[in-house]
Amino acid sequence: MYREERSRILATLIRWSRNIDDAEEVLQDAFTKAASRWPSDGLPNNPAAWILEIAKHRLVDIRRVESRRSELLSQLIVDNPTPEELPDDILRLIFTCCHPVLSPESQIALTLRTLGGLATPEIARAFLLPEPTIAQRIVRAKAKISNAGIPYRVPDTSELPQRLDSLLAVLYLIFNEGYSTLRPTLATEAIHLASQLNTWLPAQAEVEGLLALMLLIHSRCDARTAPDGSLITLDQQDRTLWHQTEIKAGITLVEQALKRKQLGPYQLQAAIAGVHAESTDWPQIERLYAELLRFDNTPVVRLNHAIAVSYSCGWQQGLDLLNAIEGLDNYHPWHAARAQFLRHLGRFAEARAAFDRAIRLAPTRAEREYPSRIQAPIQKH
Amino acid sequence: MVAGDALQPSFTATTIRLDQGKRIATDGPYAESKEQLGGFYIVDVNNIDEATAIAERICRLHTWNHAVLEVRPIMTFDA
Repeated sequence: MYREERSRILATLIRWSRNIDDAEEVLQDAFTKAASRWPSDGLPNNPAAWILEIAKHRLVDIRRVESRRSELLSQLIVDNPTPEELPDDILRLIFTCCHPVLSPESQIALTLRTLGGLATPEIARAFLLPEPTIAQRIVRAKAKISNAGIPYRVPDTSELPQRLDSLLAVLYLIFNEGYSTLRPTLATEAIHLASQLNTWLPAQAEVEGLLALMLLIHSRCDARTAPDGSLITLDQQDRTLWHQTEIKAGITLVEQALKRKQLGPYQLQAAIAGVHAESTDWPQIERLYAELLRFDNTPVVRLNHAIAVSYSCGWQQGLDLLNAIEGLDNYHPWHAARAQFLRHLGRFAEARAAFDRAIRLAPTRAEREYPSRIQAPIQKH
Repeated sequence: MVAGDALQPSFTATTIRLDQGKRIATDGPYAESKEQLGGFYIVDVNNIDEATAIAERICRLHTWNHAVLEVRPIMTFDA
């Protein structure tokens, strides 16, 4: 009950109080009260409604005290609560937390705090950052919401695509942070939030696409590292370790999304991950990356496209595309791919130099060990 | 004295610019040190969404010199 309902109740309390801090405080009070009452009185029929009612009374109390201090604050609770409004409230909350005028770091911290229900120390641990850093991001974000007038509302149809882009980017950043650093809390939290978003805001092709993408990537989480912590590439992974339920769910979702005829970058990436999950069909992957470039013409996507081209058309074509990409000189996968292509073309000295560069740039141990392992064959030459 | 107002702290600031025709909003004040302030507008709006929408329209009118607009609320003092 705590985790599932907490963010929904919080969202409603924020609408009533117009203040995230007050809402969090009265919610905490209500949970404390529940902890002392429920064991003796028994669980109420509708625990969420009970919590909401107690929190509301507490909110009214706070407002009364304040209104005695200042007449101006007397009428802050404006809306009449109805249970039907709950899904709207939670959407208001997630769109407010992921408002593009907040810094991405603040959006992430605030989303995990209010919607994920993660405590500040948990968020700090997940990002390997000092607790005061996260605490300050949250305080800043809340202050900007109230001082700069970030409205507590769901964007209207005309703004929705752009606002949804920024919201999905936050969820994907949370997922990637967790997935790439092998910190599972963040990855599963992001999947949880995306699947909730898909129920709050149904029939949105890119929401389905992002959820599908996360599920398909996550399905390989047990197969991607060796016992010694080094990275295992897709073609070397033990496919029996892939989570079939996540693959099935992901593929169903992406197929459903593609039928909506609102193509977008997350759907395309999910489609690519789906092809990998079934049987890696490089020409098809190459076409999907070419399509993705129309939405997302970034160096990293061009790198992935070049890799797909190398497998479907040849190493030289791949290398030509790779060499034409600018701005990835400090990105180790670019050097690793280049080394790989050069090795297949028999240009061993250049390949060795590229491998060395990839190893020096790799940020995590698992990623460092991957190039050193595939480097072994060329050192014999 | 002709006009004057107190602005809210810099953490309330948002910077708006166009990138290939798309509006980009970033948290924080305009960081470019040269030619920091070329002019200002005072608008009466309900929230930051309305303010940034106006800022975007102004940016679109200034495409030739790549205008960047910092949106910052004016301080209000309760009686």
